[in-house]
Amino acid sequence: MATMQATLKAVLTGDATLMALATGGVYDGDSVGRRGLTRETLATAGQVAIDPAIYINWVTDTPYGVRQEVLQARRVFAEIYFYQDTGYATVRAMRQRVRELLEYEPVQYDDPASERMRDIFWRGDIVERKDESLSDVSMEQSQYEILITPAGG
Amino acid sequence: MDNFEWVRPPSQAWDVRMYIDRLAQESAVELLYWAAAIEADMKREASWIDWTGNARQTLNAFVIADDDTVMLVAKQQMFYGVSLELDHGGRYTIVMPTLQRYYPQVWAGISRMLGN
Repeated sequence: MATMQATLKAVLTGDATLMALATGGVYDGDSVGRRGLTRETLATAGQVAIDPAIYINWVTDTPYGVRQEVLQARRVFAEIYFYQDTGYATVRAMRQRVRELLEYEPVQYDDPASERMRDIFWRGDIVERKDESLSDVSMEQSQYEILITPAGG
Repeated sequence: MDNFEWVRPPSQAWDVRMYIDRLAQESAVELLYWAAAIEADMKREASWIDWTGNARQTLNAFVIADDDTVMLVAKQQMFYGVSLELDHGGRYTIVMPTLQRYYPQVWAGISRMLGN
């Protein structure tokens, strides 16, 4: 049994090209502690610089729109954060690769079996920022919207 | 076509400018209603501790309208707001999730206004 969240994360971790870039790993709320994302999480033990990494933040789960009683559909929004210690070359490459893997590429999962992913839409990027909470490492963010309908829909 | 003559010119039959103006006015009224609800939600549900009161006070949603554009804006207006929204892996973000939650309701309101 795999949830949508776990299956999407597996899409990223299962891609050799992306994993060659994201040597620090792919994380989400289930794989970091109560302090959230920290430099210790992203750095190899004994190293100061962080390794390039990806963090998936599941943001919102909301009805698709009007006529919910008919459509029974919902939109799930995810933010994907990309980090590297300095510069943006690897961040950009990871962001582009994730888009190739996810955009219009719905995945199948079986928990719950009553629903089905219909599509994944790219909703924009925020580029070339520094994350102050991680001592100003380079950060970019992509937003995705996932359309879910009943399994038989 | 030399002998073509309008029975009633389009400018008299259907005043497009007036239609657009009315649409903009009504859209602004609709969005103003939702802006108040969105701002209240953001202020109430922001999960960070607001040591100065400034961050929560300056979480605002408002409507900007000019001749052809009506826009609902939600923003954190303190200089460190962008850090609250985007740092920490999105742990303290409040503006985008609130807007996303309101998309269906705002769209339903606009649809009702248009008679759909």
